[in-house]
Amino acid sequence: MDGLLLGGLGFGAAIIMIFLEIPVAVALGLVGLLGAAMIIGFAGAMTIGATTVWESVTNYTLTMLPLFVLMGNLAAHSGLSAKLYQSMSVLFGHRRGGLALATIGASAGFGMISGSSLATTATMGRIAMPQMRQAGYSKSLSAGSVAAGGTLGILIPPSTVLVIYAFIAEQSIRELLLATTGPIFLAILLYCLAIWVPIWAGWSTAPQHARAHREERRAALKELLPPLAIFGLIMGGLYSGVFTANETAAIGAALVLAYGFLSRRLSPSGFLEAVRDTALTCGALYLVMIGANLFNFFLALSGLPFALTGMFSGIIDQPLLVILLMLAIYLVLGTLMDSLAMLLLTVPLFVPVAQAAGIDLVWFGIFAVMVVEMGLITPPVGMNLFVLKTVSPDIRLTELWKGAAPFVTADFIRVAIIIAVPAIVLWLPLNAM
Amino acid sequence: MDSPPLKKIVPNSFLAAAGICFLFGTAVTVCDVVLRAIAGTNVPGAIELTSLSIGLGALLSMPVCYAKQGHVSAKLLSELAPARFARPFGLLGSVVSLGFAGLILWAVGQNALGKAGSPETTPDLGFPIPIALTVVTLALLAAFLAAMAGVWFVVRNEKA
Repeated sequence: MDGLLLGGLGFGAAIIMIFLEIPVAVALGLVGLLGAAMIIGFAGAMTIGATTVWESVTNYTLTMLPLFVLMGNLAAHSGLSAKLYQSMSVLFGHRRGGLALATIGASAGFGMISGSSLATTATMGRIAMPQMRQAGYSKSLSAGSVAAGGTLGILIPPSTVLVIYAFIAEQSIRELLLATTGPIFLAILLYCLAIWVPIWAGWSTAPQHARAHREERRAALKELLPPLAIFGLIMGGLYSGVFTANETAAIGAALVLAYGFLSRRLSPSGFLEAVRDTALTCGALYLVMIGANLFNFFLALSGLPFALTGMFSGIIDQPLLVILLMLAIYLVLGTLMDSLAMLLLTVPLFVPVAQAAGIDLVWFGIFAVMVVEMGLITPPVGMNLFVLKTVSPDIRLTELWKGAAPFVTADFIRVAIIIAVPAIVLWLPLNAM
Repeated sequence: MDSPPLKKIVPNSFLAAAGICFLFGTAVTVCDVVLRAIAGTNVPGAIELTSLSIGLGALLSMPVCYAKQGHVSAKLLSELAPARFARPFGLLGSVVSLGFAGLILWAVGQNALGKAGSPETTPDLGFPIPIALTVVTLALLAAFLAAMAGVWFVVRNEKA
């Protein structure tokens, strides 16, 4: 069979398998192994399989994943994440839309730890939604802020999705992590507007509440200091070049562990739970990397990425059109699968096209991560919205769409801004030490 | 007093071993940074030691991932209609996972057999490659057995 046709069929088969809820690693790995076997023979494919497993489990760059996951789990079991929502509620709850802001912040924090928008939406939907509803917030605003908040965490360092992109696209993880800074600040600003504009316009309700007592606010600020200090220390080390990205992950895990034990917030059983959760997550993540590498190899053998670059040849000198086309594809895929699955499927195909169009691959990584997350909250079929619907069945879908609309608009504006001003993404990686 | 069942002891042992590997990797990297800052020197073979220990940790956690169906998957339909889709998709996923685990075990096992007796070693620590490949194969054998257990649990509608 023609390699190109085989590549296309393999790509389609992977999408169908993922849609049928076959594990992403297994779908990609099986298609990769069997597809490669059809091109270079069974023995050759098995040799590639063995090499891929060995290279994945001994890869130094990938050691960052367990270390970042460990750091996140230690933070969660030290109560840092829960304190984040409580403290932000105390500090911002009295402002109009303050609880929605706190939800965005806490969802971003939780997303950072869990690495999955869907898990964040499901969890925060159960924690923050009842509080906002009780405080008189409209259903649409409550739902929109939970659904959108989850998408933000994936971009905030330590972003496991970015580590995976760096591995597949062979880009510097340090540069990618630095490149997230501008888009994160932009996202926070635009999400604040996405909360406030509908309130000002009277489309959603968010009653103001009495300001917390000074002591309460002081205590809340005090609670926020340790996580901010740890985050500042490790990111400062990374920005200044004192630590490599791997060292940042290890130092971060050690600092959170030290904080947890010294503040007596991390019990021995909490520590064991954090390590156990890390092991569970990392087994799955390493399998995903093995599957993605096999799939990558098969696609390269089939010649599909080069054919795709050829198909784009008519517009390859117009990077804007290339980007808009990719944006449309990601939005459609967002209706079918999670962000990680989308990235694993598309990065091997899109990176050569982006390269041929002269698009910086660090910029493209940030763009891709932002856009796959957008797909998850874009009506009518963003997956985060469906997850929220299952968590809060009394919310109608139209209310969910209404709630998500301002945040989707904010995301579109953010993407438009980074397309128009790529320096927002690239300035820091190009100028940091 | 009832002793904990085997299906709790086995996964917990694998996860504990994996956790120790991750913590060891973290400790090596932190010591390397501290040593560099204080004495201007490095832990010998720190990068390889970290890679191998964390890689081993990842391998040891894979069996639990197969047995408990802890894979990353896009659960759209089973989130929307759990009663209709969760079980058939769970069964399909576990059977296909078993096939994948078998193929990977075959690939790595054959490679390990081919390298048996080879004098190759890792570049920094000088660790014999045939031994390392045997460890990887054994971990993947455990993953294959766990995938079989995973199918068994799904068929019996049992929690791993």
